[in-house]
Amino acid sequence: MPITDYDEYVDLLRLNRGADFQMSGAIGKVNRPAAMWRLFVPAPANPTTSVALDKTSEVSLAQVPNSSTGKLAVLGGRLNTGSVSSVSMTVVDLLTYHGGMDATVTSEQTTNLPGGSTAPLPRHTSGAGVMIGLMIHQTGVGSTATTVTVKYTNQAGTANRVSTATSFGGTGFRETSSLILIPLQAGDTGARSVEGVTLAATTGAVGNFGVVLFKPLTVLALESTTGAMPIDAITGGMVGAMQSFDDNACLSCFAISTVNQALLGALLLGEV
Amino acid sequence: MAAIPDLSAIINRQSGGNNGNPENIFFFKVPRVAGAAATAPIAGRGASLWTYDGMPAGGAVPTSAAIPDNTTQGALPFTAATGGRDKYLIGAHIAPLTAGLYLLYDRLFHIGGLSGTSTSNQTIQNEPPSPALTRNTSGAGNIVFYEVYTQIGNTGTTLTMTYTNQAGTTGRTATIDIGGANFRGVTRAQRIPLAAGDTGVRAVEKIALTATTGIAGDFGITIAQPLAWIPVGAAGSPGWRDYTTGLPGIPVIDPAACLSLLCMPAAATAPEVWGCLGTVEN
Repeated sequence: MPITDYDEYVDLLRLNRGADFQMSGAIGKVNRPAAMWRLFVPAPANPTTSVALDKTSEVSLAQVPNSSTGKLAVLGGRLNTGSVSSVSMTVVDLLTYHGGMDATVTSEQTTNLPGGSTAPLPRHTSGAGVMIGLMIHQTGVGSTATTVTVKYTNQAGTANRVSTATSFGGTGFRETSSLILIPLQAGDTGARSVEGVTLAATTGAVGNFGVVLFKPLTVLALESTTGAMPIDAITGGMVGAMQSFDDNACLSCFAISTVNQALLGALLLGEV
Repeated sequence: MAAIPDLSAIINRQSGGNNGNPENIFFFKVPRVAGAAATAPIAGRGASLWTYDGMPAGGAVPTSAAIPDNTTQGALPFTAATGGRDKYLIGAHIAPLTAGLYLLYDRLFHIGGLSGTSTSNQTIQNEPPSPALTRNTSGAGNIVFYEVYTQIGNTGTTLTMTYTNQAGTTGRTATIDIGGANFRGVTRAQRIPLAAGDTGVRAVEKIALTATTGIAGDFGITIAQPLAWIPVGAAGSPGWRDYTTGLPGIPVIDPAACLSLLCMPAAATAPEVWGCLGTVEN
């Protein structure tokens, strides 16, 4: 049920239903999107094929409760950064997670990609609003800058759409944990599956990267000068608060940070 | 338009009550145009992200006078309010690679194909205007900027704009630098200050250059309604606005709005942007 008023919102915050996370170290990347889940504790394994994700996955925030009659929603957070600096933290529903691609291959790589009949989206199945990211896993890819295109099926079910070429490899696009966002073809508002990934040239190192499909939910601005940040929908710092999500969602996060650092804390959840 | 009565009403609508239809609109822009690296902007001077790749895809360069809307390629997609309700922007968040001031605006009118060498009058909307604005038609608060689509010449000159102000007075004129260093590069967007006393623009009749810039290039004129200014203090740092608690209050998004971004970068680095707009209906 929707929250009636301010008092009910505060009461829900007081219930203190936190979904916790902790990172084992600093992200290893600044100023551009970086997947926080790679460093969650306990350490998730690097995927070698497509994995459909849910609340039990190791890349999900811990202790996401079950809802009863309503839906869970993100009401706020209590967060800490390892260093005192600003962070943009986006909460997503991670849908599929994939790895094992080679950053030296210039032919289209098509093996074990997410979506389609063999590994369909577990949620947001139409693909509307679902974004494609290329994630660089344990070892960074090469230092030679090139571009990448992705062949995908869009939110209307139209196959063989081709993304606009975007940067891949080289400084800023090679570091471990990098989440490289893929610009879709004009007119598309989401992706249902990915059929191929093509590099324009080798990056110079094999590395290990893969495709991630995710649905962004809400975003929090961490900018306290002390490093300790309580955030809610009233006092500021949170855009898109009270966004509800599926009971089985793989609630996870990526960060854009001014410095290389670790985060920990909890998202505060409530039922709406 | 029914104003949202109070904080409790916003909370209620954000959580889906009373047909609040909360929508979080996520977007990103990468510093590339049609797959090629974007031209670096000038620090401290305006740059348009209209043609930048991303989600949504980059907008096309306009060739003739047109009224873009929410269906135009390049417009940030959103679900228009229905049932007699309005859509309200209650928060905005941007985390860019380049610090600076970002403007979310409704692109009300645009035209391209203007020449950097012609010293004749170049018609924009003419008088009476065609096409006339279809949103924020009173002109109140509307701004005008020129936007460079293909580099123009390196000789500085003056652009004179003849326009109709927010009161409907035709033949108003304003001038601005164009061409030469810092006023010629691709994606450069330069706001044109209005004549004294004017607070908006209903139409732009024509423009004329005092002298050639040396290269025709391709530039255009855009009329925009500013919706949200979002300052970002440092690269990689989030800039955010909460309009429920911050001034100047909660902007309304027209159902047909062509939402786009303009940037005043603090560094000569092509912006790369991740962002979100929080909205509810009332």
